[in-house]
Amino acid sequence: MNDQKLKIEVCVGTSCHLMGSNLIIEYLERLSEKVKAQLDIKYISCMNNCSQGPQVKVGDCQLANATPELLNDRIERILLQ
Amino acid sequence: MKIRVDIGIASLSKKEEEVCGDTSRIIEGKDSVTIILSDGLGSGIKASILSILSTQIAAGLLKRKLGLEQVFATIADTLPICKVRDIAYSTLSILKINYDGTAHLIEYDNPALILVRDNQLLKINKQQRMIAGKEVFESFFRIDVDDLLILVSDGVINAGVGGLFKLGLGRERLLENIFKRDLNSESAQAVTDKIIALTDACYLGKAGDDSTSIAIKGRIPRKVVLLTGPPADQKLDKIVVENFTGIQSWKKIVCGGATGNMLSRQTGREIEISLEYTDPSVPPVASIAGIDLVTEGILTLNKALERLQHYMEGNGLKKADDGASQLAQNLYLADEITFLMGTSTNPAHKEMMESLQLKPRPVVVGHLVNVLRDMGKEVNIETY
Repeated sequence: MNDQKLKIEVCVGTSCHLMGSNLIIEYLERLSEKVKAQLDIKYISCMNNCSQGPQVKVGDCQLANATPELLNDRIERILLQ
Repeated sequence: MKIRVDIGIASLSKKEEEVCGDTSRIIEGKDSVTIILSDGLGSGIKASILSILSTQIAAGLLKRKLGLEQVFATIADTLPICKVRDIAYSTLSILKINYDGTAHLIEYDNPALILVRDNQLLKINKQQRMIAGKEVFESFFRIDVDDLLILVSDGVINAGVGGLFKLGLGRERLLENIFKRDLNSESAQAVTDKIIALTDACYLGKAGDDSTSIAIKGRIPRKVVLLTGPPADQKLDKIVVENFTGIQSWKKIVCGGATGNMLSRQTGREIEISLEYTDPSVPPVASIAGIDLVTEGILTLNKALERLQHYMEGNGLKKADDGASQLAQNLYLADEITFLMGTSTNPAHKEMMESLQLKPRPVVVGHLVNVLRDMGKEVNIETY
């Protein structure tokens, strides 16, 4: 089942947390249940790219300096494909 | 053998009194803990002030590392004598338990200490002697793991006097109750709560005297080993992880994302981050098989330090599920703590930490070591 879902990985390491990964998480938590059901959300302790946080991986694509807006665009684009 | 104790205290005030005339105090030192129980003459605020006076003097002198005999003599010399009844204004029991298992007890006018081992009452050899003109009982004995010691004020022994019992609950009935309910197998706080509930029941809810119970249970020391930061030289990763996993401990804690990843890499155990973000200011905890707590590093350490400092200022320790609260709680419960600290630094952290006034790892760990030592804990630190 998880294979069909869109994999989202959010780095919650020190730098990414300070750069706003909690805002990303807040955004993900606020998504509708219908959208959430299509996502496989995971937190990662460190993605080893600390100077460009928050780091978020959507599918195979890693986003640097991620924001809720950027992530929303990406998720929307993939899910509506 | 090294030993530590858990202590539970409960009190009951005489009916219609706002404060309890008994005072208890725990003074933790580096190698010992001293428990004081004082019962002020009479009840209410006057008795309370008198018993507080005795315990306060004792606490002050014990902190200056005076022996029990000198402490008692000072209190005995300063205690006023009631002109009407010609007795001292407060009673006193001082029990010093050294972490090597030896104990020293001085009892003045309080009910005798109860020592239960293997569900049997153990007789303590006491010596009657005069200290500063007061007749006291002094004893030296050993405490083992799982021993239960109970100190009570006379309000417990006399519970129900002239009512439910002609001569009160008495020591024998109290002991019978302890064994019948198998209190030996319960926690120190549960034991003492049950003794005070029994006392209240004997008084039929209208306590005729202030009553206090202190239960002390012997246990093995709780050892925590905390791994934070990868070593400066990556070649040492394996050695550090082997050292960490090899130490016999009560709890194993990992603080740091890169540290958790290093442990995961070296042991082949997966790291899984919790999806629970209970406190937005603290990154979520993770789990690795065989490790009791895995948290983020710098922020969590700084927050845990704040919580422990807050506690040391006389406030309560916040109980919550976030990583910093869990870390602070574990460190608070520990008796011996070993920090294994790696000195590798993350350049991306430096600027951010300066702007946010966060303490870097060696600094925050240094502060934690000091706070924990002030709390009477044995703390070691190894750096890599």
